[in-house]
Amino acid sequence: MHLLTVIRLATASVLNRKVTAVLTILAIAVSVMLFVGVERIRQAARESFERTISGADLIVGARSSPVNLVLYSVFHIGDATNNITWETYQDLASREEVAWTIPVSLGDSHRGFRVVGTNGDYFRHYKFADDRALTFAEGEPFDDLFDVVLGSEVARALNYKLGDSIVVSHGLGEVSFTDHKDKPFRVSGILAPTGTPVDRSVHVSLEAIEAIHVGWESGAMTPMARLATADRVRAMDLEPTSITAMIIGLKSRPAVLRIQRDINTYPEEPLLAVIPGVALSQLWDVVGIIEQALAAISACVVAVGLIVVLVSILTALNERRREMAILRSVGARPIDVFLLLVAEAGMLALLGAVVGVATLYGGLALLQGVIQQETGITLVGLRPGGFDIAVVAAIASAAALLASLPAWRAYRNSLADGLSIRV
Amino acid sequence: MNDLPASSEAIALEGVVFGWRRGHDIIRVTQLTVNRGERVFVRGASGSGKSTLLSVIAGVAKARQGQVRVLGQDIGSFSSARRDAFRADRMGVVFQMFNLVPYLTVLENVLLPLRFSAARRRRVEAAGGSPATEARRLLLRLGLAEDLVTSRRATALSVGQQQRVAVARSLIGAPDLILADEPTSALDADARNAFIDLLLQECAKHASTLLFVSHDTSLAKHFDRTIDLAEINAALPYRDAA
Repeated sequence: MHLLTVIRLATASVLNRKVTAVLTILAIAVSVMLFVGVERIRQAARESFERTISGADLIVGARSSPVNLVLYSVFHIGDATNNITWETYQDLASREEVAWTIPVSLGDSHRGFRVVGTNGDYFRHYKFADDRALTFAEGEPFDDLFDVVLGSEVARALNYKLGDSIVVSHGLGEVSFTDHKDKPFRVSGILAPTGTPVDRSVHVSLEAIEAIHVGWESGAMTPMARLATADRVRAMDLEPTSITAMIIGLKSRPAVLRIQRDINTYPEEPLLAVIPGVALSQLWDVVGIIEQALAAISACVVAVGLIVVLVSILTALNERRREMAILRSVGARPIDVFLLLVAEAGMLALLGAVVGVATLYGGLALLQGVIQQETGITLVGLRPGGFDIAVVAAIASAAALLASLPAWRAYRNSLADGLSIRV
Repeated sequence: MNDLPASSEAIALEGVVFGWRRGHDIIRVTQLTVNRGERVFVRGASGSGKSTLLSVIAGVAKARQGQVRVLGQDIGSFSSARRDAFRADRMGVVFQMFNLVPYLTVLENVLLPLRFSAARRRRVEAAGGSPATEARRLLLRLGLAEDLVTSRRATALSVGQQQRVAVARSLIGAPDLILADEPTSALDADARNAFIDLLLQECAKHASTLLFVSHDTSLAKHFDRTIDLAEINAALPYRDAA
């Protein structure tokens, strides 16, 4: 009965000081938004990275750092420093421990989307998110030299349909001055959405990569290229001389370390083989420092928010001594006075935290598209969950705990003041 | 509440000593008796320990020595929580000014004692009315216009109106003892007399005992009896502000 009365009083008191209450709630809301946002986006980004490639045992490229190799070959972030030769690819692909391989040739783009040169093995063996295979929303894998398979995001963003004809640019800029205009492609298939960089990729055959570069060996168009029309190119030998990287699946997992060592000491050229999970955990080691810094900063902001609650209770304390004496006169116990202030602080923090979490998820839902567009990171599974409930509960409790300082003072005051008020 | 031992005394103080701080007594009363139904004026200059005396009787403060019997109960032997509950059930308090909780409406202010005392709520309901109806009835009887009763905020009222609301609050649920601490000091002469008449009438109607403390001797004529605090309080009354 007393507790109910106290909560009722606390509600009325908070509502009476609307401006202070709104500002206090706002301070908590912003701090909670930042805190939960950092944590959830961090988790979502990790999840997004980790679900991008599945089932692959090794990724092989020219010798560089493991993180760099994984980033450019799978996530299409950054560029390769060097290529590996076709002979090497064939040699590694033919080893008996190897179950399958996917060659990857990067370096061209189409209106800001990366072009991935590969072969049919890509559609057969590439797996993401717990061993899910790529599926076609429409059409089929490339068959003709100038066929192209689009990721779902590419088709959506550029509004392409099956049978449309597109031109690939040299280099990776969004605006390119060197288009391979002489050799347009036809859309033969569009992949179903995966929530991985595959969605943002334009897939062609390795031969097609060679074909559009006939006469471009120096990196720019030469007179030779003019002679290499689409029809003439078809007649040429288009076996690639090099690729950017390859993804390897083994017949037996335990062999992975031995094969990795073999590749890393490959006598013909300097290669690097990495286990995707290992490279990612190295990446998290690096990113982890930044994450910790962000987490520390956002925790500090939460502390500031809690201090704002404390200040709002503390500043009102003296002018409320009379109110406390009145409450005492009608039968409130000193503990009720204590609980009143604690309840007010808890209420403000609870409201603030709920508003913060709600705003965060509302905002993320609205911005999800933009985030995917700009960063390629799909924020998967971003729904309020146990973590958010825990944060809200923790912040309300922390505010109530902090408020027990001024509440204790009010408790002491109400004992010392009795029914006389010296303000 | 009916199972209490019958007693003709509403208040009986014997050898009571109290000070908010140790070694600094404000109250030293050998004997003070107020009978049930009596309306007693306690005169005391400011700093003579008036408010402190009320705190002791209300059970907000606990006497260091002596016996404090209120409505037949030795409240000095009660726990702090029981004294609070006893006050909520049996007493009404009116202060000098700013009697109302600023964030509650007029009606909510009047109903406040019923939130802390189930016994008073039951008494109101036993008399055959809802708490809100009873609060409204009291306020109207005390001369507050209907539109003020329903107005949102208590602080929107004039001082005189606030004092009447405070009286309504002290009376609701018919407590046995009303303690009034200079309730008229913020009122002008006309309002003062009208206010005291109303207070006495209402106390008589509810058969409540009234203990009214003030420094204003001219008010004494309204009461059954006058007690001079300077005479009964031996604790160096004028040296320090209480």
